[in-house]
Amino acid sequence: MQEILVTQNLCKRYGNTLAVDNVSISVPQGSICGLVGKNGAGKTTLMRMLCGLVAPNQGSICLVPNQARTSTTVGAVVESPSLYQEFCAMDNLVCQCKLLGIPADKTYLEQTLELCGIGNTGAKKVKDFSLGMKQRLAIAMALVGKPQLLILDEPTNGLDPEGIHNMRNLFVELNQKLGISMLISSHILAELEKFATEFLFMHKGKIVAHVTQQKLAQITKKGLQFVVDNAENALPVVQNVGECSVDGNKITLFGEVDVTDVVVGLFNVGVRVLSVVSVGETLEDFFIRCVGGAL
Amino acid sequence: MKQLLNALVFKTNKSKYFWVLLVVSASLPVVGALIINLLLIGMEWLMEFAGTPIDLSHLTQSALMNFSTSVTPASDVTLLSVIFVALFVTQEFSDGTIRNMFVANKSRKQIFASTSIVCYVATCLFQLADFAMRIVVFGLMFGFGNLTAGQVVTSLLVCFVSSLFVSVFVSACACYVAFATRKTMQSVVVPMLVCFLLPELLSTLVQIGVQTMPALGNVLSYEVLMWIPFGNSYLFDPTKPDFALVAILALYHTLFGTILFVLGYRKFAKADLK
Repeated sequence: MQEILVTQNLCKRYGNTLAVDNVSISVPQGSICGLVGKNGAGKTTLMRMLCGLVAPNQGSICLVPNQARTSTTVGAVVESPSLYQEFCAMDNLVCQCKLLGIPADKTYLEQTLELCGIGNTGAKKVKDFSLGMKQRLAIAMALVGKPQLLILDEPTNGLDPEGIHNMRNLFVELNQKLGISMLISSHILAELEKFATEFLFMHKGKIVAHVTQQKLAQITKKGLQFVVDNAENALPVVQNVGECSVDGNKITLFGEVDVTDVVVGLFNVGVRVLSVVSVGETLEDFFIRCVGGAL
Repeated sequence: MKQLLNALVFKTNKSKYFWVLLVVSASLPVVGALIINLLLIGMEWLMEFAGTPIDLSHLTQSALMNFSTSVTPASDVTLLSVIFVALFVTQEFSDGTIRNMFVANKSRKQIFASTSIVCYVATCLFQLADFAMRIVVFGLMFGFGNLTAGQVVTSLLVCFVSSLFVSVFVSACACYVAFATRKTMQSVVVPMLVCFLLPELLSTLVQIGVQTMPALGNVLSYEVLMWIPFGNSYLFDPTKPDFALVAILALYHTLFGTILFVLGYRKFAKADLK
């Protein structure tokens, strides 16, 4: 698969602190790559380096290999929203269009604002916006040039639950319909888990794991745990369904499992299902395991 | 570069402080003329009241006398220019909007150069507004004395061109501090100190030198004094402009402006940004 972002041996040192330590990553085109790490792991420094704000001490960055990078290739929201506080939302977008060298078509800009959920803000100045509105406008600014790669640092910061939900849907839509690749960092791992297709785990400046969604599903072994009254009789039935493990009267079935089929199958051999619970590692559990529990 | 300039011009055009400062630049000569007039009338009245009437009309015999500050960075327009540059540049850092330029694949060279150019042009506009109003207000109030139209036009042109060199130097100085510190207050105070204190300091040092060492007075002729950077601006007489002095002043302002531009860029080129 073609890569949209490749870094090799990136290092950034601040005094005696190695903020980014020999980071080599490759983000496939069309993917939503979640960058996971605790505070101070080096996520923002890495993103700043990708945006050119910080020069690496060592290593190289290649954005959109085999293609000349233009002003609209990348869109980004790094840390706080980068907005002209004295301007209204539309003027911010017009200014961004001028910067990118694209026509400031009012209809298109209104659609972009609408898409990000901040239509109808009129002449209201950005300084009077809520944090959530600023965040949405910053994302609209990043989107206005229809970039191939979006770099987003904590994009759901300051958004309410509905806003987070809408933003997640927007990211998925942009990825699937427009093919925009994304590198997103977030502290809300459960949120990332819902839509990211790749995960980069960062700890103390290093990338400690890079897994795809499918691989993560295998690693974390998600499944259903059935508590039954007779595990011995239940075993032949569950073994036919797929990979399983037995612990007393608890039977765990891994992978995609149709609960109804299993319950009916067990009922037919006279086994009663007392309870069914979802089991397996979450992204958070896996992350903690990756960093050796050093949280 | 063109895209950056477009965006920065759009920002300038939309910035309230740019228009406020432009209006203030145009208003200052009016206020200045009123104050001068009132002071002269007041002084004449006081002296007459004290029984020793004096004639201060020689001070107002030519409006050109009010253009002597055109060649020095120590003027009211300098203050406005420095405030503009400080706000214009440091806001890019405090609002984080400079990040958008990096993300739009603009190099540090392009960002620094285009921001500086917009600052230079804006400060020249302040200078133009001030100059035009000065001609109108002081010209109407004091006239241009016995000078011919040709002499007046030449003097005004020399003063205006010199003031543009000063504007660019002041902008370069303010840009350097603003890019280096990224703090508004420092970006106002430091260039102000340089622009107001440096010419005064050098001129005072020369005067002290001449007074304490009379031999130095013989050495420091006009021809020598005109080579003292910033200290030479006090030699300028707008009614009889010395072209050699004007050329030296322009040379110094260009030279020091260029040095500050290069130093400012070098500082910005190495900086890690948030």
